Amino acid sequence: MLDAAASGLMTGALYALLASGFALVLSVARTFNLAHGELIVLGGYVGEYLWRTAGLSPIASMPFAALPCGALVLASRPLLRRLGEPFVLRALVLTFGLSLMLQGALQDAFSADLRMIAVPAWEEGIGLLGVRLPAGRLIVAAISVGLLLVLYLLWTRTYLGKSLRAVSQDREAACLAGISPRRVDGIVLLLGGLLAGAVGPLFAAVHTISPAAGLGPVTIAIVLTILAGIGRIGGLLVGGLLLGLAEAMAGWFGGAMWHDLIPLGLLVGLLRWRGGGLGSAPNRS
Amino acid sequence: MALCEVLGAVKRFGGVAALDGVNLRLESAAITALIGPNGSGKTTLLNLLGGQLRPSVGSVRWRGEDITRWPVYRRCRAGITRTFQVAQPFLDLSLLENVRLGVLFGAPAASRARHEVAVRARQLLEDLGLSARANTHAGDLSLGDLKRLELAMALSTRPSLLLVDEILAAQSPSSIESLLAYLRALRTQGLAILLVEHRLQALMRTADRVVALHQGHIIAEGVPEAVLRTPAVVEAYLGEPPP
Amino acid sequence: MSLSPIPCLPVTGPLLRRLGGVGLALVGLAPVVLGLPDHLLYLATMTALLALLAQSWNLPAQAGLISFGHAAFFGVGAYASALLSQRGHVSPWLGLLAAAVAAAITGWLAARIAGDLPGPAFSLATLALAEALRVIALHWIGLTEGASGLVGIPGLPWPAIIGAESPRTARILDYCAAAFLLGVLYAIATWIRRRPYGLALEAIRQAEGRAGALGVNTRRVKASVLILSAAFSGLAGGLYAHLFHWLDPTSVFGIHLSVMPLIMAMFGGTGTLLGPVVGAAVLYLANELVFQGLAPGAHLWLYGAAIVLVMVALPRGILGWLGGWMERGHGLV
Repeated sequence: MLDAAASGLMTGALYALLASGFALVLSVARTFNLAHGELIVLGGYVGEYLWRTAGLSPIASMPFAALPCGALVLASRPLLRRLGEPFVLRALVLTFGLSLMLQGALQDAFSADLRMIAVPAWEEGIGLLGVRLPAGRLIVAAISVGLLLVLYLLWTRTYLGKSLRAVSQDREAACLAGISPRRVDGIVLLLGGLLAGAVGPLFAAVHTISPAAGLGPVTIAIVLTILAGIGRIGGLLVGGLLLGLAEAMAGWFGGAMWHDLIPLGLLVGLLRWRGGGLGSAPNRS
Repeated sequence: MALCEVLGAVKRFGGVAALDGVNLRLESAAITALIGPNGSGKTTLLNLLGGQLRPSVGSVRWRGEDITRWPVYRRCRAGITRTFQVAQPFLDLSLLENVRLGVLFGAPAASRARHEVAVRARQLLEDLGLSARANTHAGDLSLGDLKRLELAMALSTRPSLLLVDEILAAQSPSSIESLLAYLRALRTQGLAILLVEHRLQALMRTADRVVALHQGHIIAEGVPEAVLRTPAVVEAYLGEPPP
Repeated sequence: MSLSPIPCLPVTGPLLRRLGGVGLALVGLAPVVLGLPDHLLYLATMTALLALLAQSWNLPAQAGLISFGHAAFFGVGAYASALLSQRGHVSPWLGLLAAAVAAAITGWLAARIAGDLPGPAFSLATLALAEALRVIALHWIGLTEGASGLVGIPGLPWPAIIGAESPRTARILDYCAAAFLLGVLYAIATWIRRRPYGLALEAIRQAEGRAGALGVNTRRVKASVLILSAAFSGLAGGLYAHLFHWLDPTSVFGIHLSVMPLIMAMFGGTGTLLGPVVGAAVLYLANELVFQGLAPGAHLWLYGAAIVLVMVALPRGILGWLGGWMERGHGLV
């Protein structure tokens, strides 16, 4: 059971990274990107392709996977700009449509069968602190934590991070301080897309992917974002670890059904608990 | 027995007490004005009466019954109704439909007979000088007219207690006069009115009683002339004791 | 506060209104009268079924409740009717009744869980609910046979008097069943539009707090419209089970069943009565007839593009846009 718990924790770190792009875009640009899951899956497919044809490790393919996703997000910006009020709900429906389009494209490009990046070296078990883990999980977790750390530093220590934080707290005030919210929106959307794509290969190394596999990651992203509170990166990691652990324990004690139900049940619970803050985001200026 | 009473109301938001032990009595056929600088708790008090908020401590009584836990729609049907400071009409509906809603749902023992509903709705619009635009969308109205529409909507529910939130803003002087005269006429019909206002001059002739709120406490209560000269009230508004 | 993304236009003009009901009836009778070939009859039946689903989705949407999880009601109805008629050996007609009841209960549940949530939160909660039901159906093998699905579900038993048990007649009658339910729902929707209840739905959509302060029991209105909508979606699901004789978690709880009514209703125009029907007909038939040869993913792509188009350029949907155009052009309607 401890093995399962440890594995769950490792997965949780990945979850946090997975959610980070989504959380950034939501808190700064007030955009619910329901296509976030499909972007991750696209990144996964790129990683899988590079692994299959060039033997490129998932880690090395992260930058390549990030690019098309970033490009897609930028391409969708003009569409987002044309939406009127109420923006949050409209963006939700729009990105829902975009996610369907992406899913359809993935189905045609890659067919509907399940795929995975199975790195042989990553299958080996490693003993650590008394538990046995597949090496892959450990590596993925380590990279996730590392990237989250980089993001945290970006968010708190750089000028860019400051601008992002300013816009997420008060768009008008940021505007008065000389920061262009529109430009920041573009930057954060791109960043969110890049992050989603980059996570893709990592995700594909520990989960099977298919065109329809986007719903899982985006549900997790939403859960963690609400759990952590808008704009907190540290909370994402803690939340991710808890979620990973809860899932693993549910799966261990209850079976596959309960494992899958955890994020969904958490989502509903969190929406009820913190539901008031979601729909009543301040108007975009 | 008073029509409506607020007893020992305290409302905290986080660590801040917007209302800190407020007692208020409202009687039928009387206009009570509620004054106070911004942030004094006027809107919070209105929200407690209307049901949009529940007090942290204390209770609200209606005709002797404790209604603190009652939801908004139930209070409306019991006879409490309000206007909103930031007008909230149904923008995509016509003025007539805006007013019809309250007649259909909010009036105690409402008669749903189509003919009667239409008559009553039109009457209200006419009383407030809006009948010419009965079929225009509420979204096309000017701010002053929106406030009148708010009043018409509130009255559509046949209230016994009317809570009016800053209805005189954005009105011309003649419009203010006619509105105040209308409120006085409503008082004569037996309505209890709680009037939140900044235009102190207007209150002198209309209000029977003035209650002054400051930082969540009632600092003065009585006839308009007396309250408006109370040093504490002047200080609250101007920030310094009167000369 | 519920904020709809679509400005709702009241049904445009008395002319269109009258055309609507009669037009729908005429179109509805056509397949029976014209004696369509089998595959077209099948298309007509599916169109009616999807239109039924879309029309029922549209009801809560008028109160600002944009559901992303109508598959929940569809699936519950499908499984309820299928299980009762296949395992319980009950007549499929009773199964359909059970489908409506079971789905209505699910609708009540949805209202309890998500009814008080503001717009986007409500949408996400319904999404989660539908997904959760799919997961449960997938894993509760004892009840649902899991991924293998239920097979051998009986068709609707038409009395022998009507059609000498010829399969074609049965299929025509199946179509009539779907069309009939659609007609009933359409009539209900029209009736609601004219009643205070319809005004209350609109008011809740535009300014929920204000509606409450005017005496509308918003919680009860929202719950009742969700229950009504769920019941008809459940009927659509039950009908589906008896038309296809087979179902599995993905085919009745899958996200496409939540997506399609949303897109069809928005594409046709959520603020209109005929919008969902028109949207269902246009999108489904275009998909099947025009874009037939395309790869499967392309169909998803099309639906996605349709919703993107609506959000960006046609917020009122086709009928809403047409209605606005007609009003400007003729001033009659």
